[in-house]
Amino acid sequence: MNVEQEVVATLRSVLSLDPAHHRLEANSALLGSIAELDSMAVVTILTTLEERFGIVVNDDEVDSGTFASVGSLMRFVETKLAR
Amino acid sequence: MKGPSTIVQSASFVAADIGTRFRLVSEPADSKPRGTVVFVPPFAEEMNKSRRMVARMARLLAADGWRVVQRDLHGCGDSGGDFGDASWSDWLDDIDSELSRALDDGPVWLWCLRAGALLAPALLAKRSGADLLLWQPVLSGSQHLQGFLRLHTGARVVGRAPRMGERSPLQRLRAHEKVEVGGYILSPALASGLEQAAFELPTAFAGTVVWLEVSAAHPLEPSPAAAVAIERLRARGIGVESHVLRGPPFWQTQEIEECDALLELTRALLANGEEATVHAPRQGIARGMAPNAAR
Repeated sequence: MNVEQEVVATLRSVLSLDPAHHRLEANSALLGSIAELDSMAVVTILTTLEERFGIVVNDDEVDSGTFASVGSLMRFVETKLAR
Repeated sequence: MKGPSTIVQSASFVAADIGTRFRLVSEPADSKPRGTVVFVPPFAEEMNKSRRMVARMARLLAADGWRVVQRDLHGCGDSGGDFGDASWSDWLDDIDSELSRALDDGPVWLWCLRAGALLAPALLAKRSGADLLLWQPVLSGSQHLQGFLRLHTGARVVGRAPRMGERSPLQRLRAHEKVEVGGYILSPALASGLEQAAFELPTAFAGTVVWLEVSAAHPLEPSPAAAVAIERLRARGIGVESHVLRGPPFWQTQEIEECDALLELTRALLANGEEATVHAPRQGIARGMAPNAAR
């Protein structure tokens, strides 16, 4: 499973981002750069990632750093998968 | 078929154990209703997101000859009290008073949207005789509560809510404290009722179930949890008419969305249910529509 592809696909579908206007790569900033990323979107992204990757996210494990960039979110998922 | 008839809508406040409740009744203007549809609303923000769909459905069903009763539950905005004062048992009492009144007066459909379905088992255990219309029912109260409390995590991540010290909202609720999540004050009495609720119909239930889901996924099929629950009901001999329609999850979308196909199928199935009763064909969209269209 390609973590980057899955994370990017999740972000695109939850945030309804048009690929033509938002290039999403590992170094793309999220919080503070993408207006669509509000508290509801964070919840939906977490729930979707749990379903797609079969992981369980404890709410204490996430903070603004987790959602700083595509890369930070990828690393978070990779850490969860490695456990 | 007789053209859509004129409807009348009457709004009133009625007394409850604590405070008053707002109640909206939509019914045909010029004929005796064929029965009553009692609406059971979803939880918190899902209730706001779905107001338009619910209002449209109520008017359409009234035009089809049904009396539709929408009672605003304790603390839900139009009724008295604050959300933080409401308890699960208040909400059960609210719907039960509508159900008991309706059952004295012809056929009854209990129309549950999302978490409204979690109130149904306790209601149907107390009073028999109603059929069940489910729109995207929530099956597990603890899962639903967890999803709701997660809004606090979302707000914290985007910097709109502080950490509540060392304890999570759930831990605070367990310690009998109220918590504020997503703009709602949630009391332990409401949260624990929700958390313990599950969609398990009482053994005595002998009505029909119409189970409708809306999905944007390909292919269109019931959610896995729904498929299991539906099979369990059928194994008990309960007639379940289940359909999945393509459409937006209007109870949670950012913008207010609608699903016309859900309104039309619901009308057809309720009209059909009255004539054919109980065991409607499983793949019955086309056949279910036919008698309605032919009249």
